[in-house]
This record gives sequence, C-alpha cells and structure tokens, in this order.
Amino acid sequence: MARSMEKYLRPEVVTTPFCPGCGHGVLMGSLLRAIDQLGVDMDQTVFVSGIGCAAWIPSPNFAADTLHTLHGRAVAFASGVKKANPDLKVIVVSGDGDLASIGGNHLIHAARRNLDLTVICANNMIYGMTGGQMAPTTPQGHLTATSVKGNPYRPFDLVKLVKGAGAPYVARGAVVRPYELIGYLKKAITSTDFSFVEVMSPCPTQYGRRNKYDSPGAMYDRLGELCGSFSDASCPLPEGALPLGEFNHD
Amino acid sequence: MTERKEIRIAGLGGQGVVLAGALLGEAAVKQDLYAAGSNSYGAQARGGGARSDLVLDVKEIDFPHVEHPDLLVAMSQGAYDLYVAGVAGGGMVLFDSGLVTPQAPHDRYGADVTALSLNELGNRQVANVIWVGLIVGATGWWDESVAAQAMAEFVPERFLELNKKALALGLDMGRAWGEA
Amino acid sequence: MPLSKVSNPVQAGRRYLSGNDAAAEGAIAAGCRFYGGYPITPSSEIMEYMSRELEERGGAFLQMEDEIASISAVVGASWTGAKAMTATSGPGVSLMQECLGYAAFTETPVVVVDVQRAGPCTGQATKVGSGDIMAVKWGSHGDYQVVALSPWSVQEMFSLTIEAFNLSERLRVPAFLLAEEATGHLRERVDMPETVEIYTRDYEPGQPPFGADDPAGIPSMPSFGDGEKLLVTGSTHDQWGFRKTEGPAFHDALVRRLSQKVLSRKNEICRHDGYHLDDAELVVVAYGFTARSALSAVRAARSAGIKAGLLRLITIWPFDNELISRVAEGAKGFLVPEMNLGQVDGLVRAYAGATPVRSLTQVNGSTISPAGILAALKEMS
Repeated sequence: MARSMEKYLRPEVVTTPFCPGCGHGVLMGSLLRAIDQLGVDMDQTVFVSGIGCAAWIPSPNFAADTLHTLHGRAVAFASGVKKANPDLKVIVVSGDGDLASIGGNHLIHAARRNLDLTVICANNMIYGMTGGQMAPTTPQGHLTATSVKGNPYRPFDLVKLVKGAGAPYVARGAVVRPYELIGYLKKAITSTDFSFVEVMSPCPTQYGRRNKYDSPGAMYDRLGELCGSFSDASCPLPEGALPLGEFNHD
Repeated sequence: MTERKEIRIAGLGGQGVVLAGALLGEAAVKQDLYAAGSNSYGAQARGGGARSDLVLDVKEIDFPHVEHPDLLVAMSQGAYDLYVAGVAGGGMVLFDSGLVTPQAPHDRYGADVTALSLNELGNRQVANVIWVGLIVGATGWWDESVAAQAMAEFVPERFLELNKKALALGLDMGRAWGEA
Repeated sequence: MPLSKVSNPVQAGRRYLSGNDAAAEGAIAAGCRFYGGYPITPSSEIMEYMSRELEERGGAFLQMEDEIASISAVVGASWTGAKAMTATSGPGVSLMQECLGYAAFTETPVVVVDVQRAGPCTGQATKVGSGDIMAVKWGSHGDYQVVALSPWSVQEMFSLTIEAFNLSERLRVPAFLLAEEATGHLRERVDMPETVEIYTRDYEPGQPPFGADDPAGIPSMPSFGDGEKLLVTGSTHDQWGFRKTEGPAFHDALVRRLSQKVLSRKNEICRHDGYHLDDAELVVVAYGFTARSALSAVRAARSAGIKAGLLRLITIWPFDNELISRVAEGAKGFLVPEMNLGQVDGLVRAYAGATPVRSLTQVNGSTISPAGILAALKEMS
C-alpha cells in the first residue's frame, strides 16, 4: 500500500492477513483513499465488522475505533452504535457470507430502517476463511468445498436485495475498477442514509483454484470481462455478468 | 379494614374487570394501605374469562396472590361457577343478577348492573365503575372520597361526569348491602 | 468512588405500579440511555415503556428484528458510553447467548431483564416459571461470569434494576435481572425514593481497556469517539485488544481474569436477607416470587410451633456458596422450593455439607402456594 495511506493504519500492523492475490487488499486501499479524499475524521469513525476474511480489513488494521463482532451481527452492532451516538460515522466492512447469509436478516432490516450506516460487502462468492464452502453468492454450477458437483442453487443479487429492502444508496464496484470503486465508497460514506456497496473481490485461494483458474491474474482478467460496462439496456448481458454502478433508480 | 383481605373480580373480557381491580388497588395505596394486584393475562383477557385479583393489608404483604377471596365479584355465570367454591368462610359474593343464576348461600347480593348501567346511565361501558362503587360501599374497606379521586385519574376527562354518576349509583346500593 | 447519589428522575413517592413498569423506571433512574429489544411475553411492557420514555429523556430506542440483533445493538451502544439494556424472556435469552458471551469476553456492560415464563421452548408463554437460573449463567460457550439478581417485589424490580446497572458498569459484565412473570405483572405499592445511587463507568484516558496486571483487575473503559482507537474483538486479545489467537498464555490469563474479577469480589456483590434464621432448625432457601410464598409459610410454621426460617437469595450469580455453608452449620434441614425442577437446589446441595436438603419443585405455570411449602416443613419437622 502507498506510504501516504500509512497514517490510517495502526503502527503495530506490519502486514495484512490476506493471501497472495486476494482482492481485499485493493478494497482496503480503495476505502482508505476514499476516506483520505473525504477528510474523514478517523477519531469519530467506528468500523464494525463480523467474522471472515473481509472482517479483517478494518480490524485491527485501521487506526480508528474498530468493533470486530460476531459472525453475521456486524450490522446489528453498528445499528446500536449509530443510534446511541449519531455523531459517530459508522462503517461496516464484512463479507458476503457474513452479511448476506448468517446476517442477511440484519442487513435487510437495517436497509428498511434507514439508519445512517455505510455497509461495504466484500463479495468473494465463497466462504474463504473456513475453507471454501458454498456461499449465498456462489454462482450456480460453481465448485466449492460443499458443492463439489457444482452449486445447485441460485445466488443472491445483493444490490437488488438491499435495494428492494429500501436502501437509498446501493452500488456495485469491483477491485478491478478501483477508481470507480473509490467513487462509490465516497458517495456511500457521504450519504446520510443507509448505503450499501457490494465489492467484487476475488478469492484465488479458495475460489480460483477450485474453479480452474490458472492464476490470480486469470481470475482478475475474467472478473474484468464480467464487470464490463453494460449501459445499453438493449444489449444482452453475457452469462455471469456483474453490472457495476449505482442502482438507485428504476 | 384491619387485616388482610383478598378480593377477586371476575367476568368476561370487555367488562372492565382489569380496570376495576387496578382502580381499587390505586385507591387502597392512596389511603396508605398495602395492595398487590394480579390479572389474568394472555388470550383469556380478550373475550374469554377475565380476572382481577387484589390483596389488601395494613402491613406488608408476603404472599401477594388471592387464594380464598373474602370478596368475590362475579360478573358472569362462568366466573361465579368457577370461583364461588373458593370463597373464604364468612366471605361475601356480589354478582350481576342479570347474568348470573346464584346458589345458596351466596345468592344474596345480586344487582343487574349491566342493565342498570344501560338504563340509568345510557352506557353499558360504565358498569365496572358501578361495580367499584358497589364494592367500596358494601365492604367499607376503602375511603369513598379516595376511591372517587382514584377513579378520576383512571377515566378520560370527557367521561368523568358519567363515571361520577356511576360511582355514586354503586356506592348507594353498596352501602345498603353493607348495612344489611 | 464513581458511585454517586442523584435525584431520582422518575416520580418519587408512594405509588401503585406494575413490576415491568418499575423495572423500566429503575433503568431510567440508573441512567440507561439505550434500549434495544424485540417483543416477547411476558416482558414487553418494559420495551413499551422505554419506547415512550427513553427518547424524551435524551436516550435512544431501537426495536430490532430479533433478540440476536437486540443484544448486538445493546453491546454496540454500550461502547459509545451509553448505559444500555434489553428485556426479554426465556426464548429470547436462548437467542442472545452467543452475544452475551461476547459481552462477557469484551467486558461490555449490558443489562438484561429476563421476565421468566414457563419453559422450555415456547412452553406456556403467559405463565410463570423460574427455569432460566442456569441458562443465564451457563448458556454461552466457554467459561465466564455474570451477575444475576432475583427480585421478589415490584419495589425490587425498581431497586435491583438499578443495582444490575451499577454492578454491570462497575464490573464490566453482563448483569441479569432474573424476574418472573408473576412479579413482572404484579401491581403493588411501592415507595419511590427521592434519590438513587448510580455508578458511573470508570475511564482513565490512555489506560489499556482490556486488562491490568492484577489477575482480578477491572480495566478502564473508554468509549468510541474518545480518540482511543479502540480495538474491540471477540477473539482472544491482549490488553490493548490485539487479537492473540495463538499462544496459550494470553487465553489462559484472560479467561481466568474474567472470572476472577467477579468471583474475587463476591463478598461485595452478593446480597441476601433472612427471616427467623437465628434459631431456625429448618431453613427454606428461596428466591424471587417463591420467597414470598416461603415467608408466608415460615410465619405459619412458626405459629404452629415449627422452628422454621427463610434465607432469601437476592443475588443468584455469583452464587454465595459460603453463605449456604455458614447457614448449614446451624440448620437441621434445608427446603428449596422452586418453579423449576431444582436448579438452585443442586447448588444448595453442593455446599450444605451434612445438612439434608429437600427440593420442592413445581413447573405447572403457577406460583408455589404457601400451603405447599408449609406442608413440606411439617413433614420435615
């Protein structure tokens, strides 16, 4: 990470915990750049995370108040923090399994309640930390430790889910498009509504190897293809496409 | 009142049983008695049987539940049948004579309170305050003016005059029973 | 001392009040500034009260999507410096258990009012029970301590709620008010004091928030926004909150300190009262509502010439084992009436020495009558 971002990290932290090729480092850097560009006061910001690889993006790395909670409960903890002290900026960073499976109910209710929370979901489409099991975001047919013949079920479309639950600001970015991602993160952090940013972030270790990617680079290339700009609504989307952007208007 | 008294007011959900019990408890505390009240609770209180129990004493109450009421007020046949056998020796049973067919020896203190409320006051809803008057008048356990004060705190202001009439009506009848 | 006398913010004087309303007023008097909860019989009146009153008094209220979210929000709120609580009943306590362990492990003050009903499972939702005694102590995985207080009156629904807050804030542990449906829904004469004593959280800037050199120490507790860059985690951590998930010494020291900070202060925490104990041969050990039946029965037994006494446990957790051993020395027998199948009975047996212990259990959704306790005393005498 660029030296200019070091001031946002605890001095005790010397390495990130992420595997080689993990997208979460890019997300971490993008988030810190968004914070830097906005001039966010880190002493008045609380980062709340659940359990899983993505939950380790803020905790213990960020030099701010960090609340590393239970599996699935980050949004519920964050709701209590924000409601009890509305002057604090509250940013949740966690993974797809944490936020959308075990914590799915908290996510949709927080979107409905519309407290001023920013929820950033690092979506690697798999349970990374526990060894590569099927997630609610794993594409149908894809291989995981608990779907060795291919996931038989459909994945959640998280932006549609959260938007449907009432979130006023919903966006999807990807670590292969960091500058757009920083833009979405800045809007989400600035928003005084409930805001949600899904961030496509590859997991070469658990997902890439099982699904026959030769290298992390190959995963990033494929993600780049799937995240193409699909602004022309009449253009049929390729299979597995992940439209990026802000999804605030029907 | 010099010793522990147990009171059970029972009827059907919607008859104002719970409010009557709460009002009498509040009045007792206003005159520095000890009071402990419990209501039947749950689905029962909404259409089924309803019950409001009250224990009064001049000293601190240890066991706060009613076991053998010194006063039973039965506003329905079901309540009368269910609770009359448990009344303490020397206990008093008041009943709504329009709704309850009593049996000796507890057949003495009946009043058609529901009809009275409708005919005299033009409103069935104040029957429970007539009952409060009857209870206070018949037992002498409460200070009448304190009961009136508690009642005024419990009812909405626009119905206060109506409820004052209901209380007075009950007190008159109750006093007659108390003297009998 | 951070214990200070303040004017009681709720209506003082003689009142006729329900137990659940009194618990809510106790919370407000204790300085509660956050309530997160989910409706459940027979505790919901507490939540309704807090929804009406708390924001008027500068606090915050959140109705959450379930009990798991409720206790999570309460823990989050507590770290902002707000005294925080929830109220629930058995099924909700079951759902909250993982996060109660989180609160214990991260030393987060939280108060949980458990208005117990007849369990297990959905059971008889509107009926009384006292079956959560062990659940609140042992329900979350691993070793930890909590505080649990057992009120027997509407007056104590108020005063022990304040005490639960004071102990929770002082010890940095989850504290339970182990109430029962029969007390939550009882209306009773109470004398509300003009002033109350409340504990203000200890905070020394710059001190480690998760440990001290003292193996029974209670660390300073900063809040989010104080600029302390807090690291709160449910993983094993060092005194600054850094995860220490390898290394046996960290885990051992932390787990032992979390227990010792409570157990070493047992003499300051535990409260009880006694009736006719001086010359009692038969001692009824009771708590909560059942202690009222027991007091009535003990008085009747005395009238019948039986030397009976009542030992009422006000603090259930930590359990005052030394008290039981002490009383056992002068007693010929213990009787333990409970609205469960003998949860405190097992504890009494463990510390009663040679004194025989008789258990009187009732799980039919109604309170134990004085007559039942009196009959047992007569059989024992």
